[in-house]
Amino acid sequence: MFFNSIEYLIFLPVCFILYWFVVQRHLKLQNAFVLVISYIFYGWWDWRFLSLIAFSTVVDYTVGIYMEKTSSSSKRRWLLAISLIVNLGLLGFFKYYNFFVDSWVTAFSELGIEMHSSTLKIILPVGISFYTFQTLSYTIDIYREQLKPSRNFINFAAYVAFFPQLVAGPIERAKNLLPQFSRKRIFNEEQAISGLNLIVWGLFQKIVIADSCAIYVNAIFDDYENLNTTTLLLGAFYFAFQIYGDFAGYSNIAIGTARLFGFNLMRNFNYPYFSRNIAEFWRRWHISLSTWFRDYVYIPLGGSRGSRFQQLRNVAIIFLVSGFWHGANWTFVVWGGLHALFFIPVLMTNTNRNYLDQAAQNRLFPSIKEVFQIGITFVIVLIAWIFFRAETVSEAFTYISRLFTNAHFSIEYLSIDRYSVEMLLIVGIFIIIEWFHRKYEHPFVGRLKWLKIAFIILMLLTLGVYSDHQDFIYFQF
Amino acid sequence: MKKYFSYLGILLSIVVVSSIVLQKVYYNHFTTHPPKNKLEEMIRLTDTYYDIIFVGSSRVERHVDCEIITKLTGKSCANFGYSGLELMDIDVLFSFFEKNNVTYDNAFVQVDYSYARRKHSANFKAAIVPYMNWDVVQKSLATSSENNTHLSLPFTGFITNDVRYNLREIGVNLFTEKPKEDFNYSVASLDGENTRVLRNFPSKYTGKHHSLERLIHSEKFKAGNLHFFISPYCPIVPNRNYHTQLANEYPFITDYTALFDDKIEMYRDCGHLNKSGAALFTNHIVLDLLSKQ
Repeated sequence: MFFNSIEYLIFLPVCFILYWFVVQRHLKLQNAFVLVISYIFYGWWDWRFLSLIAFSTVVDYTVGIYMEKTSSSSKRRWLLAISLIVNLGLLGFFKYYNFFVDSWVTAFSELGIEMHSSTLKIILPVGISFYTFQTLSYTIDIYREQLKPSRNFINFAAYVAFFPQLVAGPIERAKNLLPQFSRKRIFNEEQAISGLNLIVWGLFQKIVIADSCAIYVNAIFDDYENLNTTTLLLGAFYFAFQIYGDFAGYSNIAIGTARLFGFNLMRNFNYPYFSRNIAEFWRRWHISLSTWFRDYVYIPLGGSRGSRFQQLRNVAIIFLVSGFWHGANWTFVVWGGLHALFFIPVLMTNTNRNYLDQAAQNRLFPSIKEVFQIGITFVIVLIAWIFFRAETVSEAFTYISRLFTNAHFSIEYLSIDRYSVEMLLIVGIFIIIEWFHRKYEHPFVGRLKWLKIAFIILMLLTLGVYSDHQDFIYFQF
Repeated sequence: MKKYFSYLGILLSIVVVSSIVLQKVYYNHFTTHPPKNKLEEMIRLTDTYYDIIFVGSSRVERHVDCEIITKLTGKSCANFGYSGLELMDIDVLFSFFEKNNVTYDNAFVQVDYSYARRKHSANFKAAIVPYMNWDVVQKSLATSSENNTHLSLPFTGFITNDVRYNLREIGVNLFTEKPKEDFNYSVASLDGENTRVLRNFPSKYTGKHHSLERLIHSEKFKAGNLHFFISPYCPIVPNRNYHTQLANEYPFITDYTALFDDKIEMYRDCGHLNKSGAALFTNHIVLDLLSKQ
């Protein structure tokens, strides 16, 4: 079931009413209800893969309990290894098996050795990367003795499968989300209203920004060999806003939905395109994943401690792994590698902890220096996005080379019966809205709140894409 | 929860009021701006008379040359063929003609393997969006095999066809009145010579089609002014005998499926004749079909 579907439009209010009017008196009942509706939500897509979530849940729940029971460090290590092997094994099989086999065969054929590929028709279970990381954080935190294991299986299962963030995050830490299942939820008006606002804003980001951009992006990337510099630049620019609108939109709907049920999820995006360097960008983009990698990969590797070489190695590893997490394709690895390259100068100059505040803090407009910094950061992110969007690495290189070799700057008419620049108007409006509300999680604040809401709803109705329904990009990860 | 439900109520009210207002604005705009393609123009045609009209899919649009017919018979002729038109679309189109006073002496309706489908074509469904409140449109959508109940909600028809009816299109219409497609009521013949199979036929006849039944119970049919025919189709298409089954079920349908079996060079692809094929086919129907009047 997708957030932007008719089914969800019925599912959400029905669940909301049952949750607050029928099962609200007993915490156990509330949690059991959350578990049931989460499984229905996921099973709507493919019920067969519910067994994977259930299996992961049972393994990690059992591992957690046994880990607490034993004081032997070697046994604890073994238990952690079981959790890692099961979770990463499932992820590896479903997400990376074909990639490794194909890469292996290709590598040998380059050496002149012919091998037969035996790839399987494996369907990637939606959200496997997200819930795998979520359950891993649970067992690792117990191993580190930073968290007590859950003694209530229903609570734990509901935490793993919690439907708003099950398929595309935010990747919640057990430390934040699990205790919320142990506390009785009482309806909080302000929390629920902020949830509604986030849902409306998320729908705008998805349906008006991401899906509109997608039409242009698909037309441009499908025909990139015949288009000029201006159009190719616009293609990359639109993709930057497609993926941002798509993923930030999803996250906002997820966080908003969770609030309707009395849960608080972590923020996942914080106006990343107003970042003044790449380190700030990564503090603002897919925050739940960046902090996950920071806590469970980067810091255990030594983080920013140790020699310069070790620091650089750690940065390279974290970005390459992050790239690979996104998908079984070399394009994502190169995307991660590029971000590592962009990060290294920031690390070398010790400016990675700069800009912990907002751009133009306490000012309406940015300084010239900030405009320049934001512009540079956006451009390098844009270059990396070309690899993220391209089907193959060579396609990305060709796309970039054509930016320079086919230096024509006319405005082209695309195969979708639209001029390439048309979408700039909507993206421009979006950037202005975001800039003037960058201190808040959504724009529906202040005296003009209702006017802004009405404007966004009008844009949703008149500019939204409903006929060419696009799945959320991050579902494939 | 009072505050929350009040807030939700205001949000929903904005959506509902906006939808109702937009429905009216869009309806006025899209029913008064000049048509952008042949289908829109056919739907909005008013107070016109033709001696002969041909109605059907691309197998009318591409095959029937009204200029030849007028030249040979001296009668006025209109080719109301449009790519992808289904039988249900044709049925509604005739209702539009009736409502808009588009009159004719004889109508020739093309039917084919698409008879098996019980829904509107995507293009036609989009084209009738501004007329969603018309009784005939609502009745027809209700009989479709697709679920169209959401289309009766205000503005839903427009937003589900946003490619054709969004704010951008209004902007474009205000700047230019030029249609997107070049079209005429004569013929849009195709070049090339091939027998590539684009679609397979259904394996067997699927029972009565309510749109055809409605047409054959009309006064026009009873008066002998409504005729049905099947256009030529190349012999290599799988299940071609579907047309034979259809013609057997309704003996009044003139079946031309095998007309060019010995002139395969007349095909542009398995389902469409090329320019020469269209000219030959038109000459043929002039002699054949018109003799039945």
